[in-house]
Amino acid sequence: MEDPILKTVNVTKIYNQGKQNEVVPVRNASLTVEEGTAVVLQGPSGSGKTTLLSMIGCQIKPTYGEIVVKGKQVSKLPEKFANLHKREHIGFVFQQFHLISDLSVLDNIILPLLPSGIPPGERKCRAEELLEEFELMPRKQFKVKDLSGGEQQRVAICRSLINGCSLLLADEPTAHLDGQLTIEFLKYMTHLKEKGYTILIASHDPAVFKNGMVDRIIEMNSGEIVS
Amino acid sequence: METPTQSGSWLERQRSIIDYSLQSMFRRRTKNSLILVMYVLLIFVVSSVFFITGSLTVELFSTVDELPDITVQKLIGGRQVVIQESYFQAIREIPGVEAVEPRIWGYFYLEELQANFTIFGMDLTMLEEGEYQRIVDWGPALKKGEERPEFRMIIGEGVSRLLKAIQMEDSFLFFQPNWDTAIPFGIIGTFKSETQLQSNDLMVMQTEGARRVLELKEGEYTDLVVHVPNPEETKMIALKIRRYYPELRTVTRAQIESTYTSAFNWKAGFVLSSMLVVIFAFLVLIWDKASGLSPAEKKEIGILKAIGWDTEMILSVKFWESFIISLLASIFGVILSYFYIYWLHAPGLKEIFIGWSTIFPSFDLVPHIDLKFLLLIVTVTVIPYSTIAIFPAWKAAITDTDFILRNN
Amino acid sequence: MRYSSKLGIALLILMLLALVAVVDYHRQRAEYADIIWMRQALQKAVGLTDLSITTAARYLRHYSLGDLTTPFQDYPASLDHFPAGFVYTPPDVSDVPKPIKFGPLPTPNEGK
Repeated sequence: MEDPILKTVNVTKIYNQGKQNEVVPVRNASLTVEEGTAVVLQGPSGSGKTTLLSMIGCQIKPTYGEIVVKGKQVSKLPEKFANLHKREHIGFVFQQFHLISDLSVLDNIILPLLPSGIPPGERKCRAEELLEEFELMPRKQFKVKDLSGGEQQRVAICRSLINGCSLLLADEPTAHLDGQLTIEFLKYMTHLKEKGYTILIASHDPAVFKNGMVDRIIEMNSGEIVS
Repeated sequence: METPTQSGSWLERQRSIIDYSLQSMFRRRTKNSLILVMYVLLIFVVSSVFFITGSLTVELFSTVDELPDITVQKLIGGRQVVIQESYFQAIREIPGVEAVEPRIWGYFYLEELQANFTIFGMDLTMLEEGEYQRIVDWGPALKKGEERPEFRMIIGEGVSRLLKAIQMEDSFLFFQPNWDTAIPFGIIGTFKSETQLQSNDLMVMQTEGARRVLELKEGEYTDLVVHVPNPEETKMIALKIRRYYPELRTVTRAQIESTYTSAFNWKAGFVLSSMLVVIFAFLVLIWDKASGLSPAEKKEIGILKAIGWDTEMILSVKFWESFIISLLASIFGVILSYFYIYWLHAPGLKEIFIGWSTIFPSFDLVPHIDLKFLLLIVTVTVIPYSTIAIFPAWKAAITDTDFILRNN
Repeated sequence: MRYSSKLGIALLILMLLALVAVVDYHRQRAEYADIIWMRQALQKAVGLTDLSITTAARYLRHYSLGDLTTPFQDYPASLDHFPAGFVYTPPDVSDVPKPIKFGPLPTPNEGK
């Protein structure tokens, strides 16, 4: 069996270590995710899902433990290399989308490519492919703030995929969506999974973890992995 | 699935970052265009003041080689008074003095026009013959020696323009309140416009005529000019003149040169006050930059970090933003002030230099641009402005992404 | 068009303007060389110094002969003829003895 695309060993995050207001959102979390699978991190609010996902996505550094993504130990990487790894191998869809609202859809999507110095022609080409795939073509020049919630999320997904990554992380993707849009979102996820993407979703929405595309559910509670 | 690497060239990366900087400037175009306009104005004001004072200094210096070595004036009761012929004889005796030349000059106020003319008496035949003929436009009224040759004069262009308005451009009727009758002075020529900056308000007349207008008695002069062939001796001779005659005052050429040099230095009220205003305005601009970013800007930085931009790239974006603004503004401001001073002849600004005069000189100043000044103005504005912008961005960029995004 | 290209064009236009200014600068300087002879001739012939920029006050018209020892209104940094009086610094009066010293004259080398 080949190496898992993602592996965490005893990952712990401690905020304000040694102070009175010490918080430990994630404690000794170990998990592995195989390539091409869809995994849901499930648990109530405050169970540490988002923190764990952020650590895997190189957004924050774990206090202890190690994280290996695509065979690379990312948890100890200096910022520059962690960023490079993030830019190249990880797609992250934030709960709040975190789009730049007065930029156009197209400009938002190509943002992760700018630091790599990919020529504008290629940037546009890749972005349009994704826009086509996510049915956003007619909205290409719209400003993000003029889009609906569902469309904004699709823009966020496009942006996370533009770097050609194979691992997609999504934090509470359905929190701002109604039932119809949730179904639509899962349809896109299924489509991505079929294309070979590895998907890790943090969610407490039953509609997500009860969906047929999900291969495995990892349950978290109070910062620890329960099952 | 292909894996992108740092495939693009360094140049393309920089260009992408500049693109992004420009785009984000354009998104905040109201604020940025205001800053740009402010900035251009600041540079424009500073350069205009420096251009005009620099050029005037050059003009002041243009004839400095022809200045008299020592000018001697007599002071009584804190005022300049006429100097008698006896001094003239005594100063000539001082060893090292080659010649002493008495001068007759003064001012004439013409009430109807509220204008002040400078009157200078000399032997006009000196101008009428030889190479000096070239500096005068000889008028049609040149009837040499006609009637009363002692009452003839050559005037500056500004005077001529004013006299035309009262139909006296061929002959001017001088009148002092204590005279019985007015004396007509024939105008035999006008100084060429090339000399306008010096000759604009001049009425150069035959010595006898000047004596009459200024009411100087025989043997009295306005001041003396001393020629000293050896420049090493000038200072000593001036000292001797003052020591022998404490009522006399001397002005040496070296003194005039140093007066000219510091004419528009930073202590000059006008330079100082305009600089102060500009400095404070610039500090306000800097303060706006340094005092931090708007929540939207902070959020943007957080987003860029979250999607994998390095801190230094975010700083480059901010650096380019302010660098581009300050560079464009300073180049544009300098060019603008060049055309304002040397093509349009400084409307608005020249009035400050003219003051209450009614005889306006032309302001065709010769351009004088000090490269050192250009470098200085660029460095003292562009560098602080573009570097100071980095600090708040740096502060935002080193903060945890999570923290910025959660708090905005 | 890319933003950086637009910036490039803007810079190019500015450079062109700067070039016009530089060419004009040299043209005007060249013309000045002809004018300067006239001015110097006038100065030599007539002998009155200074620029006739303003005739607002005599210390402004004949700036180099301005006098710090004259009380009150003839001090060039005074504001009585604002704005023109506000433009210049006072003349150099370093040669004015303060206070007047009596006794033998210094030797010529002393002043250096």
